[in-house]
Amino acid sequence: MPTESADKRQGGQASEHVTLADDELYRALASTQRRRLLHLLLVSDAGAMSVDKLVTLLSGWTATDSGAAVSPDEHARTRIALTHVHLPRLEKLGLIEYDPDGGTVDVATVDPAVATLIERSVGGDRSARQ
Amino acid sequence: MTTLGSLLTAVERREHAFTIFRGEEPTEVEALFDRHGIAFDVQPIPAGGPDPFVLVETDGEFAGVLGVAELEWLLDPPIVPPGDRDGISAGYRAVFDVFDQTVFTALRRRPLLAVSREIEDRAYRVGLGTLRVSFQTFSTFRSQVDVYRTLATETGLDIHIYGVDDWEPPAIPGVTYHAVEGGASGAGRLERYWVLAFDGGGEGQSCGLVAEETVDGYTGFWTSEADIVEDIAAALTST
Repeated sequence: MPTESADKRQGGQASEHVTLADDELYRALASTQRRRLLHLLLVSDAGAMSVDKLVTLLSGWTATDSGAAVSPDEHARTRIALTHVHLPRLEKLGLIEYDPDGGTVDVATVDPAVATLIERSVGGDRSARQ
Repeated sequence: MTTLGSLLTAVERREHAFTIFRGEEPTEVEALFDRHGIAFDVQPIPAGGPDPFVLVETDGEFAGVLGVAELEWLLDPPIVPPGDRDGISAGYRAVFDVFDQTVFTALRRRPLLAVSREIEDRAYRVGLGTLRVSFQTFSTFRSQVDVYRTLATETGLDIHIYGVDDWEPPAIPGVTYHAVEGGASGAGRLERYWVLAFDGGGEGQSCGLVAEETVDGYTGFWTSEADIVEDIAAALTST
């Protein structure tokens, strides 16, 4: 039943099992930062990750891609985008659990097909620049 | 009175924390930091994440992140004349910014030459202001005469060269020589210091370098902080 999760969400239920048939999934993945964020959470076996660490890892990713340093201003902008845009959006889709007070993020139970898609999207990103 | 030695000590007191983020494999930067007396932590990068990078925090605040690959110029820096920036990676200038006021020990001449080139190049591009340089001895300046002739003739820079008077440098319009006495005490202490101070020519491009020759290479730092560059210039002119 491919449309079930979308129906559930409209009914106000947390969409714990977003599927590949969900348009919103593709919109959420149409951002390098969000794909990287999800990848880091999916492969990390340390459980919840702090927002600080995620911002540092994403800044490091930007720096190694560009060959330039990431400045304090850029770092601050990344944090704002994360806490105001990316994390709330991924949480709304049921892909992550975000605790703004504790400053931690954990990955939710993700449909294995969705997890594979995320993995591949980051892997493709990498091979494209090498 | 501010001396070059007291400037080094003051900069050394700042708290820099370096964290190397990497996978399982150690990076060359770890050996480099060990060699230059820089303490660091190591944090893991999740599989499939970014390439290794370094996080720098100063006095508890984020100062910058830079890819480990970009730090390679500290191991093998490019040497180019001022104004000739072809083939220089963005990482080159980034390293200058990220390691602002970090004291390195056991520095060799090549990275110091690369940092000096960066300062000379900023002075060249601004084309105005005062550039003060201590070559320790005038004979050390000999190999740099052409570079400084270009700097002096192609710009409106006011250039001052300091050093022990062991060779007679050629007269160049725009370049003033200041001979200092050799020896272990008094003004002669300048003999131990490799120094550059560019006042930015009023365009916010101040930058400077202070490096003291020790038995094991040089101990020094560079900076783009205008106040500190002023102090460096003051310490030079008072000797």
